[in-house]
Amino acid sequence: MPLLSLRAVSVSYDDVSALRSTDLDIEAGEIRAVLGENGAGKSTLMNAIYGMVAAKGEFLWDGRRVAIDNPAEARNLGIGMVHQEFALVEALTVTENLALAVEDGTFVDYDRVRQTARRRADELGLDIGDVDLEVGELPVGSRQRIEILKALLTEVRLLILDEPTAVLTPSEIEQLFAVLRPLRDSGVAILLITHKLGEVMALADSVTVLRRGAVVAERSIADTSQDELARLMVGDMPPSQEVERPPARGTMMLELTAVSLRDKPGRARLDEISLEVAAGEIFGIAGVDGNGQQEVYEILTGHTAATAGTWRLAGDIVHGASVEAVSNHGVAVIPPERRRDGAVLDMAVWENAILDGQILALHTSKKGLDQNRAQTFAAELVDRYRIVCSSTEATADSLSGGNLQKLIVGRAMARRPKLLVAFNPTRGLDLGAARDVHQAIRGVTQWGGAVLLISTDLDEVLALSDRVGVLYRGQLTDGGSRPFARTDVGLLMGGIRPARDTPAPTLGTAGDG
Amino acid sequence: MELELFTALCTAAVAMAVPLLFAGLGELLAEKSGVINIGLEGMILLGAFAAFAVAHATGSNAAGLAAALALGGVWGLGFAYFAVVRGANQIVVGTAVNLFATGLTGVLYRSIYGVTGTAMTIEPSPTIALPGARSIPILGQALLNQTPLTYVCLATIPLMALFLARTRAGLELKMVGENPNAAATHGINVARTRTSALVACGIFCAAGGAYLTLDYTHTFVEGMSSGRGFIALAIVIVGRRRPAGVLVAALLFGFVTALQFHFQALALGIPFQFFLVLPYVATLALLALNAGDTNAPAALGKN
Repeated sequence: MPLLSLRAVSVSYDDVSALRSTDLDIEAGEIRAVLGENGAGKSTLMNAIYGMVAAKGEFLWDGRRVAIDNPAEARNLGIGMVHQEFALVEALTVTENLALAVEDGTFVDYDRVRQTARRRADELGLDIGDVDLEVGELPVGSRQRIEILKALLTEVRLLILDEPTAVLTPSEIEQLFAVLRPLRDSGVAILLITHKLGEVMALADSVTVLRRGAVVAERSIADTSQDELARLMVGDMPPSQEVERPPARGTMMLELTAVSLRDKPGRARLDEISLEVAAGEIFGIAGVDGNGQQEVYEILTGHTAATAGTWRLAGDIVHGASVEAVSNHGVAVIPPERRRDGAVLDMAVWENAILDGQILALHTSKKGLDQNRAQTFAAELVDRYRIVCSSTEATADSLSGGNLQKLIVGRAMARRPKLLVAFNPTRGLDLGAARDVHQAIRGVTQWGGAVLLISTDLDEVLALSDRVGVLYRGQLTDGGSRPFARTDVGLLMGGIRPARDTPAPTLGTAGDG
Repeated sequence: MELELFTALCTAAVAMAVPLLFAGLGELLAEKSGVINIGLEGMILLGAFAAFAVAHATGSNAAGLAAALALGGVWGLGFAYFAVVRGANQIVVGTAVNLFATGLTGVLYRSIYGVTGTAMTIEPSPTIALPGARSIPILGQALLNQTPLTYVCLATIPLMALFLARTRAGLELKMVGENPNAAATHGINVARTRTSALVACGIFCAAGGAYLTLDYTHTFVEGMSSGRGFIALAIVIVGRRRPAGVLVAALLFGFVTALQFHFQALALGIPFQFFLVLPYVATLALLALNAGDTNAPAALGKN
């Protein structure tokens, strides 16, 4: 008998169906992956099991019908969940964060919480460090271990992990797997939500594939392959292919020389970063979030002035910080927070399409804005980038994430930028939209533009870039050029230099000399 | 400084501090839960009026106090309905409470008692001397020879510290204020936790108001809260949202206020308005020193 069976479970938000009549079985001692694109309904399904959203349908626990209306009931049954956005309170200590999972009386005995936490962490092989530190002071890997420990402090028979590896380095992912496997062997059922095929193959015993809110397939890992899963996940679209392009040899579009950024207390946020990107080249910056990506992005877009070092755009030295000057040098930007920085959500699609100093200048004369031309321009963008919207008069807010991003990318492309700075350009997009965005980014090189791609998605960086640098604690290390040594890049992301000799950290152009 | 004068100043400081402490402790709970209640001023005023009106009608100060506390709880509940359940802007709701309380108490006072020109008075609450009131210099008089409500107020401080540091409910309150989503995953009902905190806040404020009429002035004057609700807001920040910190800040403010009364009485030939302003200047200065309020709960003021 399965530990948990879902029968015809449906969830809708405001009449929009997020999950349709889903069946799912999970056995004790099984790791079942739930695979699907963004918006496929994975998180909704898990939240339904954990009692965080109201669901219709039947839940059978040990064959007995149960209602899971809130997380407390899920916990009582023996369900633990590790949330994608960690459910930890940063201003409280590790002990305080764990206390509610240990203590259920009126008073909290923090000494007992400490002891229980340490003992359980030892059993599980989780390194949790000093339990009296505030969670906000801990790196993301430690936070996840705390989150896992929190879920496992009580007797858990089903553990749900929602995209647990999204923020981890490859070596941290291995550590996580090393904790999960023995847990499964001890009889715990594990539901692993992910969209990463490699992890499914490496860890899971079975997989359920969701597409647009419905189960489209179930497979045992032994009977499937990455290719099949990819097809099942995205539907009929062919899997993405890496396009080989000849190495670029052109003028330098971007040169950073020993660029540093220090914050007020004098800590180096960026430590003597040097890199060069030639015309026709895509340079990728990999790294785990928070290692200096935001700082590089802010300097290159003119939001922040570097405190030391020089940088040039197409040979001209850029002084200080000025968004306008950078833009006038031919730099187009795909910002990471598309809803906040990429568009004005209350304004129409056509207005957002011309929301760029240079594009706007093309559509204005002494008489003011030429609305007809702007409308035509917007319609062309919508057409060329297959942006789904009711009309160009629709507000940007009404677009889905993927379509909004295609509008932002299309606008950037319309400028034919000399340099495109793209920061996490496909985060949160489904595969179809991501592919369109990638295609547009590659297009920049065709007219001799250069691309600086900053992304925390290693797959994306390796798929698009000609050369790669890895940011770790504000330092940029050479990650090599195509074909990439994926493992080495992964090690660098975790601050570990691969054993073999690595080139000097200064990054020259591929094929130089 | 003479011992007698200093004793008098300290006694006055405690008396001035009690209403601030009550309101400050209430605000502390509300803010820890993530709700900023700037309606303290109005809640104090309502408590003061209810306590006065009922005590005047029944002749029982205890009945007045009970009425004030009940009304405070109801107002806390009303605040929670708008700010938590309906998700209204907390600042707007707080402002509405203040304006409404000023108007309501003014209208009710005049319609019940008329515009007499002479202040209506009630029996003062008695002071109770605890052992040591006479023998311990200065503090004995200031702390151990007070009204029952003062003792309740002072006793609340260690209890609240214990509540926040050692109880499950206290931990849940802090979680709700810092990260309501995380709290929800623990099965904590965020709205219920915040509502409870706001009801408690209303009761505390009303207690502060009741102290003003029953224990301190023995009468009601329109607008008699005279900014104490806002000073209490400041005291919570200066006290770093810790019960002991709030106590120190309230006593400090109380002492400066007592000092300004003394200066006024000395007739130094300086306009009395200069002295009136002293406590507020002190509050501003302390707030300025605390600029950057870094220990505010992360979800404070957000819906």
